[in-house]
Amino acid sequence: MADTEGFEEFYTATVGRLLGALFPVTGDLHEAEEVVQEAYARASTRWARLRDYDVPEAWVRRVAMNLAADRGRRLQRQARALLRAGPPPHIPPVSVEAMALAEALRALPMHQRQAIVLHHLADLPVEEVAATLGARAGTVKSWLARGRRTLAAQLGDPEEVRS
Amino acid sequence: MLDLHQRLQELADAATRDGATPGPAHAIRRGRRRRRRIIGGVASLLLVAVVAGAAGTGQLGDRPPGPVAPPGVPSTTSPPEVRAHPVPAEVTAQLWEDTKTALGECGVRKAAGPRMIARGMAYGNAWVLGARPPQASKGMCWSSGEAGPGGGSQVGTSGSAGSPSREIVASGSSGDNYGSAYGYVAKRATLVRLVFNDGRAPVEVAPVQAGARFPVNFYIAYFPQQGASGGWRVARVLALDRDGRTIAHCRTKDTCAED
Repeated sequence: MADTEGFEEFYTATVGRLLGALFPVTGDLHEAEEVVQEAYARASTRWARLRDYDVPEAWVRRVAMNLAADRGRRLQRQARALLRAGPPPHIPPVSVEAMALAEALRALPMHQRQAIVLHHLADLPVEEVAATLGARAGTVKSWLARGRRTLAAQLGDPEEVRS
Repeated sequence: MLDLHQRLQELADAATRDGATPGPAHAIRRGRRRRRRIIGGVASLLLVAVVAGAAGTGQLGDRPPGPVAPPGVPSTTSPPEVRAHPVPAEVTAQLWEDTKTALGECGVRKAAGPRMIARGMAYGNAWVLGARPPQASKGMCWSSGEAGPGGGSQVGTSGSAGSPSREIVASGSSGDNYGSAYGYVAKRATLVRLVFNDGRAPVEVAPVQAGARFPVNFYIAYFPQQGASGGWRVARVLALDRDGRTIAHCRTKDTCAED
Protein backbone atom coordinates (compact mmCIF):
# COMPACT_ATOMS: atom_id res chain seq x y z
CA MET A 1 0.00 0.00 0.00
CA ALA A 2 1.37 3.41 -0.98
CA ASP A 3 2.30 5.66 1.91
CA THR A 4 -0.12 8.31 0.69
CA GLU A 5 -3.04 6.05 -0.18
CA GLY A 6 -6.21 7.62 1.12
CA PHE A 7 -4.53 10.94 1.82
CA GLU A 8 -6.20 12.77 -1.05
CA GLU A 9 -9.65 11.72 0.10
CA PHE A 10 -8.84 12.74 3.64
CA TYR A 11 -7.51 16.08 2.48
CA THR A 12 -10.50 16.80 0.29
CA ALA A 13 -12.97 15.88 3.00
CA THR A 14 -11.39 17.92 5.77
CA VAL A 15 -9.45 20.86 4.34
CA GLY A 16 -12.40 23.23 4.14
CA ARG A 17 -13.36 22.59 7.73
CA LEU A 18 -9.81 23.09 8.93
CA LEU A 19 -9.34 26.27 6.92
CA GLY A 20 -12.60 27.57 8.34
CA ALA A 21 -11.37 26.92 11.86
CA LEU A 22 -7.93 28.41 11.31
CA PHE A 23 -9.03 31.64 9.71
CA PRO A 24 -10.68 33.04 12.87
CA VAL A 25 -7.54 32.01 14.77
CA THR A 26 -5.01 33.66 12.46
CA GLY A 27 -7.26 36.55 11.44
CA ASP A 28 -5.69 36.44 8.00
CA LEU A 29 -6.90 34.15 5.27
CA HIS A 30 -3.52 33.82 3.58
CA GLU A 31 -1.91 32.99 6.89
CA ALA A 32 -4.60 30.39 7.55
CA GLU A 33 -4.05 28.84 4.12
CA GLU A 34 -0.33 28.63 4.74
CA VAL A 35 -0.74 27.07 8.16
CA VAL A 36 -3.29 24.56 6.91
CA GLN A 37 -1.16 23.56 3.96
CA GLU A 38 1.88 23.09 6.15
CA ALA A 39 -0.13 20.95 8.56
CA TYR A 40 -1.31 18.74 5.72
CA ALA A 41 2.23 18.56 4.34
CA ARG A 42 3.39 17.25 7.70
CA ALA A 43 0.46 14.86 7.82
CA SER A 44 1.37 13.52 4.38
CA THR A 45 4.80 12.45 5.57
CA ARG A 46 3.23 10.54 8.46
CA TRP A 47 0.16 9.35 6.66
CA ALA A 48 1.06 5.66 6.87
CA ARG A 49 0.66 5.99 10.62
CA LEU A 50 -1.99 8.70 10.80
CA ARG A 51 -4.49 6.92 8.60
CA ASP A 52 -4.91 4.33 11.32
CA TYR A 53 -5.94 6.97 13.82
CA ASP A 54 -9.59 7.16 14.77
CA VAL A 55 -9.66 10.83 13.86
CA PRO A 56 -6.63 11.87 11.78
CA GLU A 57 -8.23 15.27 11.43
CA ALA A 58 -7.67 15.88 15.12
CA TRP A 59 -3.92 15.43 14.61
CA VAL A 60 -3.85 17.85 11.67
CA ARG A 61 -5.96 20.34 13.61
CA ARG A 62 -3.61 20.17 16.57
CA VAL A 63 -0.56 20.68 14.34
CA ALA A 64 -2.25 23.57 12.55
CA MET A 65 -3.17 25.22 15.85
CA ASN A 66 0.41 24.87 17.06
CA LEU A 67 1.73 26.29 13.81
CA ALA A 68 -0.68 29.19 14.03
CA ALA A 69 0.48 29.97 17.55
CA ASP A 70 4.14 29.69 16.56
CA ARG A 71 3.74 31.87 13.51
CA GLY A 72 1.67 34.36 15.44
CA ARG A 73 4.39 34.76 18.04
CA ARG A 74 7.10 35.01 15.41
CA LEU A 75 5.27 37.58 13.34
CA GLN A 76 4.43 39.63 16.39
CA ARG A 77 8.02 39.74 17.53
CA GLN A 78 9.34 40.35 14.06
CA ALA A 79 7.01 43.27 13.70
CA ARG A 80 8.19 44.64 17.02
CA ALA A 81 11.80 44.07 16.14
CA LEU A 82 11.52 45.74 12.79
CA LEU A 83 9.41 48.56 14.19
CA ARG A 84 7.02 48.42 11.33
CA ALA A 85 3.52 47.21 10.85
CA GLY A 86 2.84 44.29 8.57
CA PRO A 87 0.39 44.40 5.70
CA PRO A 88 -3.27 44.51 6.65
CA PRO A 89 -4.79 41.08 7.16
CA HIS A 90 -6.55 39.50 4.24
CA ILE A 91 -10.16 38.99 5.21
CA PRO A 92 -12.75 37.71 2.75
CA PRO A 93 -16.02 39.62 2.39
CA VAL A 94 -18.21 39.06 5.43
CA SER A 95 -20.89 40.96 7.30
CA VAL A 96 -20.06 43.91 9.48
CA GLU A 97 -20.76 41.79 12.55
CA ALA A 98 -18.47 39.00 11.47
CA MET A 99 -15.76 41.51 10.56
CA ALA A 100 -16.04 43.01 13.99
CA LEU A 101 -15.69 39.59 15.53
CA ALA A 102 -12.60 38.89 13.42
CA GLU A 103 -11.01 42.09 14.67
CA ALA A 104 -12.01 41.40 18.26
CA LEU A 105 -10.56 37.90 18.04
CA ARG A 106 -7.24 39.30 16.87
CA ALA A 107 -7.02 41.25 20.10
CA LEU A 108 -7.33 38.11 22.21
CA PRO A 109 -4.31 36.14 23.36
CA MET A 110 -3.72 33.25 21.00
CA HIS A 111 -4.72 30.50 23.43
CA GLN A 112 -8.01 32.23 24.22
CA ARG A 113 -8.67 32.67 20.52
CA GLN A 114 -7.92 29.03 19.83
CA ALA A 115 -10.10 27.84 22.69
CA ILE A 116 -13.00 30.02 21.54
CA VAL A 117 -12.78 28.73 17.98
CA LEU A 118 -12.39 25.09 18.90
CA HIS A 119 -15.21 25.17 21.42
CA HIS A 120 -17.69 27.52 19.81
CA LEU A 121 -17.05 26.83 16.14
CA ALA A 122 -15.68 23.30 15.94
CA ASP A 123 -18.03 22.30 18.77
CA LEU A 124 -15.33 20.39 20.59
CA PRO A 125 -16.01 19.67 24.25
CA VAL A 126 -13.74 21.37 26.74
CA GLU A 127 -11.78 18.18 27.33
CA GLU A 128 -11.02 17.83 23.64
CA VAL A 129 -10.06 21.48 23.37
CA ALA A 130 -7.71 20.89 26.27
CA ALA A 131 -6.18 17.88 24.54
CA THR A 132 -5.76 19.82 21.30
CA LEU A 133 -4.07 22.75 22.98
CA GLY A 134 -2.07 20.73 25.47
CA ALA A 135 -3.71 22.38 28.47
CA ARG A 136 -5.83 21.28 31.40
CA ALA A 137 -9.60 21.42 31.14
CA GLY A 138 -9.81 23.96 33.96
CA THR A 139 -7.38 26.20 32.15
CA VAL A 140 -9.40 25.98 28.98
CA LYS A 141 -12.56 26.89 30.87
CA SER A 142 -10.78 29.92 32.22
CA TRP A 143 -9.58 30.91 28.73
CA LEU A 144 -13.08 30.52 27.36
CA ALA A 145 -14.62 32.64 30.10
CA ARG A 146 -12.04 35.40 29.76
CA GLY A 147 -12.20 35.30 26.00
CA ARG A 148 -15.97 35.57 25.95
CA ARG A 149 -15.89 38.44 28.41
CA THR A 150 -13.36 40.33 26.32
CA LEU A 151 -15.25 39.70 23.11
CA ALA A 152 -18.50 40.86 24.65
CA ALA A 153 -16.88 44.03 25.85
CA GLN A 154 -15.14 44.66 22.53
CA LEU A 155 -18.30 44.03 20.55
CA GLY A 156 -20.39 46.33 22.64
CA ASP A 157 -22.33 43.73 24.55
CA PRO A 158 -21.01 43.72 28.07
CA GLU A 159 -23.83 41.56 29.27
CA GLU A 160 -23.36 38.28 27.67
CA VAL A 161 -22.03 36.26 24.82
CA ARG A 162 -24.28 33.51 23.67
CA SER A 163 -22.45 30.38 22.67
CA MET B 1 -26.59 39.27 23.00
CA LEU B 2 -23.77 38.15 20.76
CA ASP B 3 -24.26 34.95 18.83
CA LEU B 4 -20.70 33.75 18.82
CA HIS B 5 -21.23 30.51 16.97
CA GLN B 6 -23.15 32.18 14.19
CA ARG B 7 -20.53 34.84 13.58
CA LEU B 8 -17.69 32.36 13.80
CA GLN B 9 -19.48 30.16 11.32
CA GLU B 10 -19.80 33.07 8.96
CA LEU B 11 -16.07 33.68 9.15
CA ALA B 12 -15.38 29.99 8.61
CA ASP B 13 -17.74 29.83 5.65
CA ALA B 14 -16.10 32.87 4.10
CA ALA B 15 -12.68 31.30 4.51
CA THR B 16 -13.86 28.04 2.98
CA ARG B 17 -15.52 29.89 0.14
CA ASP B 18 -12.72 32.31 -0.67
CA GLY B 19 -9.71 30.39 0.55
CA ALA B 20 -7.41 28.70 -1.91
CA THR B 21 -5.57 25.59 -0.91
CA PRO B 22 -3.45 24.08 -3.64
CA GLY B 23 -4.67 20.54 -3.11
CA PRO B 24 -3.48 17.24 -1.70
CA ALA B 25 -0.81 16.64 -4.33
CA HIS B 26 0.82 19.91 -3.40
CA ALA B 27 0.68 19.00 0.28
CA ILE B 28 2.37 15.68 -0.47
CA ARG B 29 5.10 17.36 -2.53
CA ARG B 30 5.58 19.98 0.15
CA GLY B 31 5.84 17.27 2.78
CA ARG B 32 8.52 15.50 0.77
CA ARG B 33 10.42 18.73 0.23
CA ARG B 34 10.21 19.45 3.92
CA ARG B 35 11.58 16.05 4.78
CA ARG B 36 14.44 16.46 2.32
CA ARG B 37 15.16 19.96 3.59
CA ILE B 38 15.27 18.77 7.16
CA ILE B 39 17.58 15.95 6.25
CA GLY B 40 19.69 18.31 4.23
CA GLY B 41 19.80 21.10 6.71
CA VAL B 42 22.40 19.41 8.79
CA ALA B 43 25.98 18.84 9.59
CA SER B 44 28.07 18.19 12.58
CA LEU B 45 30.80 19.60 14.65
CA LEU B 46 31.03 16.16 16.02
CA LEU B 47 32.16 15.26 12.56
CA VAL B 48 34.13 18.42 12.17
CA ALA B 49 36.34 17.00 14.82
CA VAL B 50 36.16 13.43 13.61
CA VAL B 51 36.04 13.97 9.90
CA ALA B 52 38.42 16.86 9.73
CA GLY B 53 41.33 14.51 10.09
CA ALA B 54 39.86 11.74 7.98
CA ALA B 55 38.24 13.54 5.13
CA GLY B 56 39.56 17.04 5.27
CA THR B 57 37.82 20.06 6.68
CA GLY B 58 37.55 23.09 4.46
CA GLN B 59 38.66 26.48 5.50
CA LEU B 60 36.19 28.82 6.98
CA GLY B 61 35.18 31.89 5.04
CA ASP B 62 37.87 34.48 4.72
CA ARG B 63 39.35 33.75 8.10
CA PRO B 64 42.67 32.07 8.54
CA PRO B 65 42.53 28.36 9.23
CA GLY B 66 42.30 27.36 12.84
CA PRO B 67 41.11 24.59 15.07
CA VAL B 68 37.40 23.98 14.89
CA ALA B 69 37.09 23.00 18.50
CA PRO B 70 38.87 24.77 21.33
CA PRO B 71 41.73 22.66 22.58
CA GLY B 72 41.23 20.89 25.83
CA VAL B 73 37.45 20.70 25.51
CA PRO B 74 36.26 17.39 26.88
CA SER B 75 33.81 15.47 24.79
CA THR B 76 31.59 12.53 25.54
CA THR B 77 31.02 12.05 21.86
CA SER B 78 31.77 8.70 20.38
CA PRO B 79 32.68 8.73 16.73
CA PRO B 80 29.69 8.03 14.51
CA GLU B 81 29.75 5.78 11.55
CA VAL B 82 31.34 7.58 8.64
CA ARG B 83 31.24 6.10 5.20
CA ALA B 84 33.83 7.28 2.77
CA HIS B 85 32.17 8.26 -0.48
CA PRO B 86 34.11 10.98 -2.17
CA VAL B 87 32.01 13.93 -3.19
CA PRO B 88 33.13 15.55 -6.43
CA ALA B 89 34.52 19.04 -6.08
CA GLU B 90 31.88 20.44 -8.41
CA VAL B 91 29.17 19.05 -6.16
CA THR B 92 30.73 20.72 -3.15
CA ALA B 93 31.04 23.97 -5.06
CA GLN B 94 27.44 23.77 -6.17
CA LEU B 95 26.40 23.04 -2.58
CA TRP B 96 27.92 26.30 -1.44
CA GLU B 97 26.26 28.16 -4.30
CA ASP B 98 22.91 26.65 -3.33
CA THR B 99 23.50 27.51 0.30
CA LYS B 100 24.32 31.09 -0.61
CA THR B 101 21.13 31.26 -2.62
CA ALA B 102 19.14 29.96 0.32
CA LEU B 103 20.79 32.48 2.60
CA GLY B 104 19.95 35.22 0.16
CA GLU B 105 16.31 34.23 0.25
CA CYS B 106 15.99 33.95 3.99
CA GLY B 107 13.92 37.11 4.13
CA VAL B 108 16.11 39.19 6.41
CA ARG B 109 16.89 42.24 4.41
CA LYS B 110 19.30 43.76 6.87
CA ALA B 111 21.73 40.88 6.92
CA ALA B 112 25.05 41.19 5.12
CA GLY B 113 26.34 38.87 2.43
CA PRO B 114 26.80 35.15 3.03
CA ARG B 115 29.92 33.75 4.63
CA MET B 116 30.99 30.18 4.90
CA ILE B 117 31.34 29.18 8.52
CA ALA B 118 32.46 25.59 8.10
CA ARG B 119 32.33 22.69 5.73
CA GLY B 120 33.16 19.03 5.82
CA MET B 121 31.83 15.57 5.16
CA ALA B 122 29.50 13.32 7.11
CA TYR B 123 27.81 10.04 6.32
CA GLY B 124 29.15 10.15 2.82
CA ASN B 125 27.77 13.59 2.10
CA ALA B 126 29.39 16.98 1.84
CA TRP B 127 28.00 19.58 4.17
CA VAL B 128 28.41 23.28 4.58
CA LEU B 129 27.40 25.73 7.25
CA GLY B 130 26.93 29.32 6.17
CA ALA B 131 25.52 32.51 7.62
CA ARG B 132 24.87 36.15 6.90
CA PRO B 133 26.00 38.49 9.68
CA PRO B 134 23.57 41.11 10.96
CA GLN B 135 23.94 44.70 9.90
CA ALA B 136 23.19 47.49 12.37
CA SER B 137 22.26 44.80 14.88
CA LYS B 138 19.45 43.59 12.68
CA GLY B 139 18.77 40.39 10.85
CA MET B 140 20.93 37.30 10.76
CA CYS B 141 20.51 34.17 8.65
CA TRP B 142 22.18 30.83 8.94
CA SER B 143 21.98 27.72 6.81
CA SER B 144 23.27 24.24 6.61
CA GLY B 145 23.38 22.40 3.34
CA GLU B 146 24.22 18.89 2.34
CA ALA B 147 24.89 17.10 -0.93
CA GLY B 148 25.65 13.49 -1.80
CA PRO B 149 28.15 12.28 -4.38
CA GLY B 150 25.51 12.53 -7.09
CA GLY B 151 24.70 16.16 -6.29
CA GLY B 152 21.29 17.50 -5.38
CA SER B 153 21.77 19.95 -2.54
CA GLN B 154 19.40 20.07 0.40
CA VAL B 155 19.59 23.28 2.38
CA GLY B 156 17.86 24.35 5.56
CA THR B 157 17.77 28.01 6.50
CA SER B 158 16.82 29.97 9.62
CA GLY B 159 16.76 33.66 10.32
CA SER B 160 16.28 36.18 13.06
CA ALA B 161 14.53 39.46 12.40
CA GLY B 162 16.81 41.33 14.74
CA SER B 163 20.15 40.61 16.26
CA PRO B 164 20.14 37.05 17.61
CA SER B 165 17.96 37.20 20.68
CA ARG B 166 18.76 33.91 22.33
CA GLU B 167 21.82 32.33 23.81
CA ILE B 168 21.23 29.12 21.94
CA VAL B 169 18.89 27.91 19.22
CA ALA B 170 18.67 24.56 17.52
CA SER B 171 17.11 22.97 14.52
CA GLY B 172 18.02 19.88 12.62
CA SER B 173 16.91 16.77 10.88
CA SER B 174 15.97 13.19 11.35
CA GLY B 175 17.14 10.86 8.60
CA ASP B 176 17.09 7.12 8.13
CA ASN B 177 20.47 6.45 9.64
CA TYR B 178 21.51 9.71 11.18
CA GLY B 179 20.17 12.86 12.68
CA SER B 180 21.67 16.26 13.08
CA ALA B 181 21.41 19.54 14.90
CA TYR B 182 22.72 22.99 14.18
CA GLY B 183 22.18 26.53 15.30
CA TYR B 184 23.88 29.43 16.96
CA VAL B 185 25.15 29.81 20.49
CA ALA B 186 26.44 32.66 22.62
CA LYS B 187 30.09 33.50 22.15
CA ARG B 188 30.87 32.77 25.78
CA ALA B 189 29.81 29.15 25.34
CA THR B 190 32.67 26.76 24.82
CA LEU B 191 30.60 23.62 24.52
CA VAL B 192 27.19 22.60 23.26
CA ARG B 193 25.58 19.50 24.68
CA LEU B 194 22.77 17.63 22.94
CA VAL B 195 20.54 15.61 25.26
CA PHE B 196 18.47 12.92 23.58
CA ASN B 197 15.03 11.61 24.30
CA ASP B 198 15.92 7.98 23.77
CA GLY B 199 18.24 7.56 26.72
CA ARG B 200 21.53 7.57 24.87
CA ALA B 201 24.54 9.43 26.18
CA PRO B 202 24.64 13.15 25.40
CA VAL B 203 26.76 14.42 22.54
CA GLU B 204 28.99 17.41 23.09
CA VAL B 205 30.46 19.59 20.39
CA ALA B 206 32.51 22.74 20.40
CA PRO B 207 31.09 25.82 18.71
CA VAL B 208 32.65 26.97 15.46
CA GLN B 209 34.21 30.39 15.96
CA ALA B 210 32.34 32.60 13.54
CA GLY B 211 34.48 35.70 13.70
CA ALA B 212 33.99 39.28 14.80
CA ARG B 213 31.22 40.11 12.36
CA PHE B 214 28.89 37.68 14.10
CA PRO B 215 27.54 38.29 17.61
CA VAL B 216 27.32 34.54 18.13
CA ASN B 217 29.13 31.38 17.17
CA PHE B 218 27.63 28.37 15.45
CA TYR B 219 27.55 24.67 16.07
CA ILE B 220 26.59 21.64 14.09
CA ALA B 221 26.44 17.97 15.03
CA TYR B 222 25.59 14.65 13.48
CA PHE B 223 24.55 11.60 15.45
CA PRO B 224 23.61 8.08 14.38
CA GLN B 225 20.08 6.82 14.64
CA GLN B 226 17.98 4.03 13.22
CA GLY B 227 15.05 5.19 11.12
CA ALA B 228 13.43 8.58 10.75
CA SER B 229 10.02 7.54 12.05
CA GLY B 230 10.81 8.30 15.67
CA GLY B 231 11.35 11.93 14.83
CA TRP B 232 14.17 14.14 15.94
CA ARG B 233 15.80 12.53 18.96
CA VAL B 234 17.22 15.72 20.43
CA ALA B 235 15.26 16.72 23.51
CA ARG B 236 17.35 19.58 24.88
CA VAL B 237 20.35 21.60 23.85
CA LEU B 238 22.62 23.19 26.44
CA ALA B 239 25.34 25.80 26.15
CA LEU B 240 28.15 25.37 28.67
CA ASP B 241 30.88 27.76 29.61
CA ARG B 242 34.57 27.04 30.12
CA ASP B 243 33.92 25.81 33.65
CA GLY B 244 31.25 23.39 32.50
CA ARG B 245 28.40 25.49 33.85
CA THR B 246 25.18 25.64 31.88
CA ILE B 247 24.71 29.19 30.67
CA ALA B 248 21.69 28.57 28.47
CA HIS B 249 19.50 25.76 27.35
CA CYS B 250 16.44 25.16 25.25
CA ARG B 251 13.96 22.39 24.77
CA THR B 252 13.66 21.40 21.16
CA LYS B 253 9.96 20.85 21.67
CA ASP B 254 9.18 24.48 22.15
CA THR B 255 11.99 26.86 23.01
CA CYS B 256 14.84 26.22 20.61
CA ALA B 257 13.53 28.22 17.67
CA GLU B 258 14.50 31.78 16.95
CA ASP B 259 11.58 34.08 17.61
